[in-house]
Amino acid sequence: MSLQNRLQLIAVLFACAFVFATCNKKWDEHNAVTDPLVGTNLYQNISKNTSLTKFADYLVKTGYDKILASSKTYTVWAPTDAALATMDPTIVSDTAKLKLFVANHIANQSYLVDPSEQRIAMLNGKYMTVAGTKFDSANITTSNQYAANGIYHVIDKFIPRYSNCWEFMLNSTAAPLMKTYFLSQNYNFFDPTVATQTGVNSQGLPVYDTTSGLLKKNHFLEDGLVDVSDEKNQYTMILLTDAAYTTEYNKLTPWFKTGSPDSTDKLSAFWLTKDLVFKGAYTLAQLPDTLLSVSGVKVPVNKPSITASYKTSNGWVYVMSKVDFTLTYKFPPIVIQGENPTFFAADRTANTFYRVRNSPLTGQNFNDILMQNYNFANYYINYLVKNVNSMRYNAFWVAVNDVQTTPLWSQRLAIDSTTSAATNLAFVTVAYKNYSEVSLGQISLTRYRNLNLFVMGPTTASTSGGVNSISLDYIKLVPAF
Amino acid sequence: MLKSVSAAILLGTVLFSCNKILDKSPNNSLTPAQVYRNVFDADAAIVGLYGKFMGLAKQYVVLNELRADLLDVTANADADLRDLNEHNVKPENPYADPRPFYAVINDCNDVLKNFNIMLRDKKMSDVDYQQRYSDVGALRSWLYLQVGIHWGNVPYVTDPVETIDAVRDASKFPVIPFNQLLDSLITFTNSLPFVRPYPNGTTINTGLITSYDGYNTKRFFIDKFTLLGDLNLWKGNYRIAATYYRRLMEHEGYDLDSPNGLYTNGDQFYQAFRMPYADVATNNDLCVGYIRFKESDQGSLIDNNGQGWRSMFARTQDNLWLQQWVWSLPFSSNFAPGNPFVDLFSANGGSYLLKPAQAAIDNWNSQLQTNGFPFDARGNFSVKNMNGRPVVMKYLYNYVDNSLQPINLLKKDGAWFLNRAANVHLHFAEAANRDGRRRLAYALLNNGIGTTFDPTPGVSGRDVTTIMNTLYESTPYNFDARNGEVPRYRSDWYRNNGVRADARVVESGVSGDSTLSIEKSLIDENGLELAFEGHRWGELVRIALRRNDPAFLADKVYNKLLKAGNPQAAAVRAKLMTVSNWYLPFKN
Repeated sequence: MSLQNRLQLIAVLFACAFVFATCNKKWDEHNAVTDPLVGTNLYQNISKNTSLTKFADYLVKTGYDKILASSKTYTVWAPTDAALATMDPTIVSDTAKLKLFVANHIANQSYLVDPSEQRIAMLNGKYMTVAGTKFDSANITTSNQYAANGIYHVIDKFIPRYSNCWEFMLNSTAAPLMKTYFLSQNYNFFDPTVATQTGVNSQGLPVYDTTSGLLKKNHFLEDGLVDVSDEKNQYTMILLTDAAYTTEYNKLTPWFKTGSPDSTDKLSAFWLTKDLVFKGAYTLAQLPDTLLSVSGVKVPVNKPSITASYKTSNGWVYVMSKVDFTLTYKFPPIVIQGENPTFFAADRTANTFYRVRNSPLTGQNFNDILMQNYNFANYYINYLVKNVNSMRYNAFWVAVNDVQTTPLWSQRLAIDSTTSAATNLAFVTVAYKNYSEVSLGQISLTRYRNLNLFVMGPTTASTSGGVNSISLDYIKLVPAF
Repeated sequence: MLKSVSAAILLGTVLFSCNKILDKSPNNSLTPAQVYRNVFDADAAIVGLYGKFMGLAKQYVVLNELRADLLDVTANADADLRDLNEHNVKPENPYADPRPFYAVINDCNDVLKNFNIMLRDKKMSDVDYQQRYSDVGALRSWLYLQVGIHWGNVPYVTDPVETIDAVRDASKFPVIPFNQLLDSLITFTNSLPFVRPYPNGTTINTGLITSYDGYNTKRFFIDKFTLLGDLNLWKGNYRIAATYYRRLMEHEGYDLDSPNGLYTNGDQFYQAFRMPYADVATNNDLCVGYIRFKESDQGSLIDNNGQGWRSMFARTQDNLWLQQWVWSLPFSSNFAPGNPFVDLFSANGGSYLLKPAQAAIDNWNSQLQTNGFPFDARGNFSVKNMNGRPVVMKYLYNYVDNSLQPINLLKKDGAWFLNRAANVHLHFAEAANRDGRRRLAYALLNNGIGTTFDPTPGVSGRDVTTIMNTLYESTPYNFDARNGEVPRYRSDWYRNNGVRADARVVESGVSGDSTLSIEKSLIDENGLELAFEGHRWGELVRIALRRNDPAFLADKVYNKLLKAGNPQAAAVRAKLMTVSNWYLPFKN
């Protein structure tokens, strides 16, 4: 290699080294963090914002400054100083209350402004409806401010920590009778998973201390189909004034005759209040004339009767001086499906057919039961109907005979007993291909109780020809009042 | 100088000795002369060919079902499947690639060429050659029919080519219209020297009928009667088509266990390929059945892998299985290729890419069973719900248990269902209907020959000599289904029951023009009986072409997409109103 060649090679090497050396910086820069705000945490950024000094003070006071400086991700909806000017000083001076208030504006994870509506859980357990530039009723004035550990938005109004529907009712004096009933449904519940174990007894079972582990629960919230103390979803609740409550309550008591006034009271109160809570939050403007309760009862809502309305953290509460329930809606007909029997007079599995049929009347498919040639006199299928009111019912059934024109068999409905002539209804001939409801007569109950219904076949036994037949799509008991 | 001379000598020696070295055969591959030495090699070539052919199973079912009106995509399906479903196929769509078909066709060509060489060199007997050449030739014709159905105008190549892409060279291999392809296929397939079923191999140990990997090969090979029937049905040669179908329906020579090869009596004689009536006492049949005397009870529906209609998709290759299946290739975890259908269809242990269309489910639910139930139980067997999701079940009965959970995630046994007796009966009826034998078509579709050609069905103690038959017809329409005591008749078709009666649904009825009405009923029945088995698109195309009515096909696909809530429904209908849009893009 000549000297000239060597020099050339060295020059090339130098050039390469130079290029790589200069590259280094460019490479580092291409993904370097250039926004200084992203390098600092949420608390630092909020405290730097001159319009959020009060909120930053609250953060320090409640210890949330440490949380917002941590490595988890948060979203803060921070009210401006102007918004916080109207803040109740009693809350500011009470650290515990202030903590709940501040936590009402902070959520886990990052939420950018998004036009779709969502319910977001706040750090105090409440949920806020956030849609576009709306944070509950506040407007977001400055949005999507990044920090190292999340995002903050500036809002023009603070959102107080609301009670939920249930808490509101407990603190309210608008409906004393209703509240008394709800409180009567409280009970204590022992939960071993939260109780403190103190030892082990001689059987090897755990022993707990007597105070921890006892939780308060409420039957109405658990059995009432709607749990209005649940924060996650939204509800509407109607509180009746005492006068209105008494009126409606008295309309119901005759249909709940029992052995003790206490039971009647409990049943009537439940039957009344179960249709005063609804899924979904209806603002006053959105309230329709008729609400449908979870149990399917139509509830008339007469707006002039609303004496007060309150927003809660999970919906709305309305105080009403009148809700005029219609009894036919309150007591819908009882339908007992033929294909769900409770028990039979005797095992006739081989003669029992659970069928699917299409009704030419409705065009719908339906299920029914058909028994044939079961060879048993006075055979019956039992249906136990629970919690039937003390009232008169008109009984109907749909019994389909699409199998034979002769003989047309007869069957009857018996109440409580298969032998008592006093309560049993008359035999009815099951016509060929009759898909409509057939009237059976009236039954009268003097007490609120469980009811045994029997569908009974012919009085003689037969093995052939379809003489012994029973067919049933459904029985319908329509209250006669 | 001396150095140069010695170098030259050395080089010369090396080159000289090279000659022999170069003569050596490669030791990691075989030449045709080494492969095709005798009949056993020929059999191995055929089995290998079918092994490769099975690789088409997925593409075949996807093309024939997803493009038609009974199968839909799920949320899991990829863009390629969605495009097929919406008839918006891009050339790079792997399902629309004809090369897998041409790869097997090319292998067929290669095998055929070598069989000819073997015959010339006396390495195979005439009889052996005829059977094997015909089998591979028929398989090639079947493949070409599929290629023609899906790609329309395609090249018909009968010599082996170096690479599959060469087939796309239009200068060497001109594309021919589908009609001309059919002519070529009919001419070639007609010329095959052996179209009958094969004799059993156990006696002379050289036959094609034997056992591979625990599976009998009786229904392993393509059936040439039905192939010829199908080709002629597509062409519109109705009588010829019916004649071929009839030959299968008479199961000529199919008793492989009897010395003379022909059935004379017994269940196999009366039931093989004849769509026989149900065994109502034991339910050991392939019909929709209920426990006897509890026919009106929902819970007594026979729904298991050993009895009734469902069992044909799950049972072992026993006599009943042989009575129904004409062509079926087994998938097993013991050998390749793997079963593609579990992944395609199963929601438990599969990817669940395809699901039954709502339109198909509605078809079953609009039927009426003879016991008054407002549905067709074949729907209950073809579709089941896994965690609330409708699943195509026909391919999964050997994979999942009764709770629809996989028995063994790795054991994906199953089968590729290619052809069965019900399909042959419906095709025979289609040909007979177009050939003016509407009542016979109606009989095979509905209640069977014996009942339909009986003015007073159900009466006992009659002389049935002049009823329950069509013997006044000439072949292939002359059926004898007489069943009487004095004089005694148990004619060969007396157990025939009809496709719909076997499924326990009421008669289809006829309204308006009887030929068109019965043809429509036959196609509807194809959807009820053979859904998801890979027949549907071809059926729709054939009828729509015959009627010159694109709306026949377009409306069915439109209806599927409409019921599925697919926003493309109307656009797809408009597109399918042009016949050329039915075909997949052939060129990449």
